[in-house]
Amino acid sequence: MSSVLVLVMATFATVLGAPQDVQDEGAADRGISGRVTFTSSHEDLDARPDQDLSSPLLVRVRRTGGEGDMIRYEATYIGSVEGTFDVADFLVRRGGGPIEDVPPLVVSIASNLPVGHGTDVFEAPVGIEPIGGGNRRLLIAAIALWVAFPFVRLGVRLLRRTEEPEEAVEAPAPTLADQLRPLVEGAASGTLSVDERARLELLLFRAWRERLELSDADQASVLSVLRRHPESSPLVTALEGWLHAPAPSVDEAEIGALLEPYRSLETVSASSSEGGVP
Amino acid sequence: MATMTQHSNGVPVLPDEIAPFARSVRDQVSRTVVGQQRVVERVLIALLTGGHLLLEGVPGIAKTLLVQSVGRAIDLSFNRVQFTIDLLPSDIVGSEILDQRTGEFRVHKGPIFTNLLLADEINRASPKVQSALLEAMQERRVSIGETTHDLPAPFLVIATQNPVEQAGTFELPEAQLDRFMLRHRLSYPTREEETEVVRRSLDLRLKRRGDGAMPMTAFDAIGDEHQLDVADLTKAMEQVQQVHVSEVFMRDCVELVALTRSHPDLELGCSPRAALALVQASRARAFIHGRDFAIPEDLFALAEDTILHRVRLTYDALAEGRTPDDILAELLEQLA
Repeated sequence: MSSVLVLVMATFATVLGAPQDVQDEGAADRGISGRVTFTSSHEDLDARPDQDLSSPLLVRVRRTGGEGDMIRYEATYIGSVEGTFDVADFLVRRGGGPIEDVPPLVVSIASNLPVGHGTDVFEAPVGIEPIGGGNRRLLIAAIALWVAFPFVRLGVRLLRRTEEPEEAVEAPAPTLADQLRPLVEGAASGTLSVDERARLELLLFRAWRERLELSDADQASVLSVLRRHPESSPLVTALEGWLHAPAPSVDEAEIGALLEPYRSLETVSASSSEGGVP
Repeated sequence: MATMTQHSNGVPVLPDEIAPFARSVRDQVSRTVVGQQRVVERVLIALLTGGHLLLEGVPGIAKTLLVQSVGRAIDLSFNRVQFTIDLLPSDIVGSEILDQRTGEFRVHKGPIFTNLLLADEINRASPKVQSALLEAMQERRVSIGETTHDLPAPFLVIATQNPVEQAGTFELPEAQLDRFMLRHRLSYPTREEETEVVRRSLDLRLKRRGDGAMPMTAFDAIGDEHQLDVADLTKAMEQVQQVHVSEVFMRDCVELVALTRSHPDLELGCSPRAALALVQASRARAFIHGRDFAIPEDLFALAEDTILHRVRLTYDALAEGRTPDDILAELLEQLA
């Protein structure tokens, strides 16, 4: 990119028809073209062909006319390094041979860069240092991480498997009796919310399902059985009359009496299949 | 006096009640179809609530015969469309045809203009055809040319899917499955029922046509007589609207649907349409069973058919071999 920039600038400088881009003879800022004019008896003067980006000065020469036997030349230069240089050092004769009558053409190149920045025009500014040592290293590191990740994960899994499982300390699940007791008391006092009434009904179904050893049956058929079973149907149909009928056919006193045995239910846990329903 | 029956584990059970309307349909259907009482109930629920029904089951278990028998029992018009890959929307909906005598276009109505439409193997048709049907199911009207036509009332689509042969099918996406109020999975008949099917087939004689004859099929045995008609169905639909739904029952339905949205093994839970379907279907079931209010038994009986086609399991759950049925059982346990 920088070489392209310099070439563009050098090409621009050879145009030489733009006086606003050219500074006074003998002095110029870095990167800005300057020019010097001189006369010589040699007709074949030219700029040295071995100039490149590392040259402190880039010089181009053209003939502009003649003064008697002398030829008038104009040399345009661009300095890339701060300092004093002799443009004559950058001239050669196309036919070879020494240059005898060209005086020293001393030019001074000044720098506008901050102090301590250095003198290289093409030096990258501080702060754009490639992260992690350059894209290539970054890419290699990313690939290494990507390849290593499954192995690391596998290793972690193996380590975890070999670790002794900690004994989980779980709080004991509330028993069916624990869950039913406050709901039954609430039903007796008529303080149950809709949600609590729904839970009471479903917990009673669960208690009867365990009582009749229907835990393995699908739940839809269990409810059908409970509604029609001679033992469970009085409670189930009373609950339906209380909770679902458009005009409740059972009052809260009757429900309280029906639920009374469930207030002291002790033996059935939420997950056990032992008896316990009165 | 009702006789007492027994549950499979020996628990004595009192017999179930059934509404006269449902009993009449069931009796007439049972003359041609053996067993399949639950399917008949689901078809009736769909008819009474105006929902649509998706039947999933292997071929050869009398789906068409059953639907046609229900239609005949209530004097409903019936059409059957076999869905195939090359079916076009106009094959179902209808199209405009140029009458060369008059030089004008006239409307040719498709098979969708019926009371009962059996969409056989709906997943074999292209998504374009599926959406045309599902749109008609939703809006209950179709556009042919520039004219919109109302579909007859009642209008019920009973679609079938074969769960086994999935090659070359277009699976219905969840959003379209959601349009079906119920999805019922059919099972094979029991041995006793199958024996009865075979026995009845032996009674079928020859059907004569001119000098020739061909064996009668079960379809010939359906008969034209019917004890009910569309007015009876309309009256029954009005009665379903009167079925009471308690606050507690609504809580159970909404809670069950909400639980599907928070279960860790479910990637997709149910939409609010599921709660609506559950409540409406429960009302119809309560009516069929002779009650004027819905009870948890209705919810538990219909949960599978209203919930399972509306949920999708996570990949982890599928990898662990979990099934939607397992998860539904868990959710029903969690309701309390």
